[in-house]
Amino acid sequence: MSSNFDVHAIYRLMHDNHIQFSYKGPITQEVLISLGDTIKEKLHREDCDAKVVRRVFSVLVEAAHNILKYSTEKTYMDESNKATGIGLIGIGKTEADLFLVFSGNIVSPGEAKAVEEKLVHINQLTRDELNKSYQQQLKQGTIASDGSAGLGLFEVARKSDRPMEYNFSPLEDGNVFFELKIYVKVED
Amino acid sequence: MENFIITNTKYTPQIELSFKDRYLRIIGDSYPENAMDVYQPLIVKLEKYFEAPAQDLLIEFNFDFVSTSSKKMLTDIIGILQGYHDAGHQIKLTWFFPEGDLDWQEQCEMFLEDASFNYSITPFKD
Repeated sequence: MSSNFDVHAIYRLMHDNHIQFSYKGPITQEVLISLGDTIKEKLHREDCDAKVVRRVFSVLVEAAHNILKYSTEKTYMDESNKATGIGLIGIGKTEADLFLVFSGNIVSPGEAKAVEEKLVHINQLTRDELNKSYQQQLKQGTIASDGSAGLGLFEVARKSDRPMEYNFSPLEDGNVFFELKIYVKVED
Repeated sequence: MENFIITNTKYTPQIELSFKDRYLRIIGDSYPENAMDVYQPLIVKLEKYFEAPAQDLLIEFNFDFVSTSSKKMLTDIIGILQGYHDAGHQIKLTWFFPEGDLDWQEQCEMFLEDASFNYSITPFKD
C-alpha cells in the first residue's frame, strides 16, 4: 500500500513554525481535558507564570467550544447521539515572548458573517471598552440552551495581546474555512 | 433535607450545599460545554434552601479555571443570591482566587460589583 500522504511535511511545518502540538478531529470534552492537562503540565514545567497558563488555557477552551458548537463538520460520538464539531486546534510559540493558540474549522456562510462582524467589532475596542462590553454581556446577556453565553470571543480578546487574527476562505461547497490566531504574552 | 453534593470531575467543580450546616462550597475547575447542566440543579436547590424565612448561608467559592459559559452561570447565581439577601436572608461569601493572579482578582470584583451582601475576595495560596 502506498499513498502520497507526507508525514514529514506535517512534521516540518509544525517544527518550522514552532508548533508545540496540534490536534484535528472531533473536539470532545475529553479531548479538551487531555489538551488542557498537556498544556498545563508543559507550561508549568517551563516555569511559566500560572496566570499566563490560565490565559492560554482560557483561549484554547473558548476556541474549542466554538468549534464544538459551530463547526458544520460534525460527528456523532457516543450513545448520547450528540453531534460534536470537528476542527483543528493547537498551540505554538512562534516568537520567544508569545504563545500562539490557533484554531481552524468549517462554518456556514451565515455563521462566518456573524463571527466576522463580531471579530471586527471586538478588535476595534479599546481595553476599557472591551472590559465594559464583556461585563455588560456577562450581566445582561442570557445563556442559550446549548450553554452559549455570547462571551467567548470577548474573553479571548481580553486574555490575548494583539488584535485577534482571522481569515475566512470560501470553499467549493459554499461553506467557509474559518481560522483564528490568538497571541498570548509569555510574561505580563 | 438531604445535603446536595455534586462530585467534581476534571472539568466541573465539587458542589456542596449543606442544609444542616448551612454552607455552600464550590471548588475546582469549571469548563463544561454547557454550564447550565452543572449549575441549574444548584439554583433549584438554593430555592428550596431559602424557602424558610431568614436563612443564613456561608458560601465559599474557590476556582482555578472557569470558562465563559460557567462565568455566565456564576454571574446569574450572584444575582440570585443578591435577591435572597434583599428578601432578608443572611449571606456571607468568601471568594478565594489564586494568589497573585490579577486577572482573577479583577474577575471577582466584576462578579461582585453590584452585590450588597457580605463578601470578601481573598487570595488563596496553592
